[in-house]
Amino acid sequence: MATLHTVNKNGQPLELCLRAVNKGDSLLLIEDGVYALFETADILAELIRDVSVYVLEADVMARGVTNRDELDIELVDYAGFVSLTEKNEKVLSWF
Amino acid sequence: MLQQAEPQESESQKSVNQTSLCVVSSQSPYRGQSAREALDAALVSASYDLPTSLLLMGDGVYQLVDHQDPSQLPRKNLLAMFKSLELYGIETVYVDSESLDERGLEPEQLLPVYTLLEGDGVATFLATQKKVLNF
Repeated sequence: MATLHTVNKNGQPLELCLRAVNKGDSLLLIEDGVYALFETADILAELIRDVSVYVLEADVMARGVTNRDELDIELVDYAGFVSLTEKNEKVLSWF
Repeated sequence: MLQQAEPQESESQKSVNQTSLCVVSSQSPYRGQSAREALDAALVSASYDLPTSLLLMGDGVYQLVDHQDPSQLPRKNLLAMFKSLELYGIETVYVDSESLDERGLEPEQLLPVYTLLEGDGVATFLATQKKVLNF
């Protein structure tokens, strides 16, 4: 029962999400959630061992969040967002 | 126009009784309507005989702090609703133990109607749930 978690803000939403993810789940950072690439890059670096981490292209570009390349994090567009929701049994949004 | 897929429809209706729903509530009780809406969603779900549970985490654990008195606010006392959840068929209220620790709350300060989830209990529990709604 893999789950897609979306996080739209750093702080509590990301923290609670980290407590709820299981191995094999996916995490998609959207809206202000993409600032996690700046603010909590170390946490993400550890997380990507067990969880596939994605960021939404439009939100990354809009905010100029540029250090994605240092981490193994995949950029997805809106169509990619949709296919992630298809691939997972549940979608849990943390906000 | 949406096409109706008849066979799948009846299949999903058959499996309704195996569906379990967990409502995750992570906002404090008097900030916006989120806490109230989470409770309402859980009550509606339980009234349709879906096995329903509530999980309080983050600031959501403040909802269960005992001796709340919002009489000077234009708000209902949510704690009173927690006291009657069992009556409405909501099986269990889970509380994330780490969220209590972070806020300096002791389990004795909460209304004693909950089950504590410790360690990776939250992740393990949510993985068993067919549906999860986040508030």
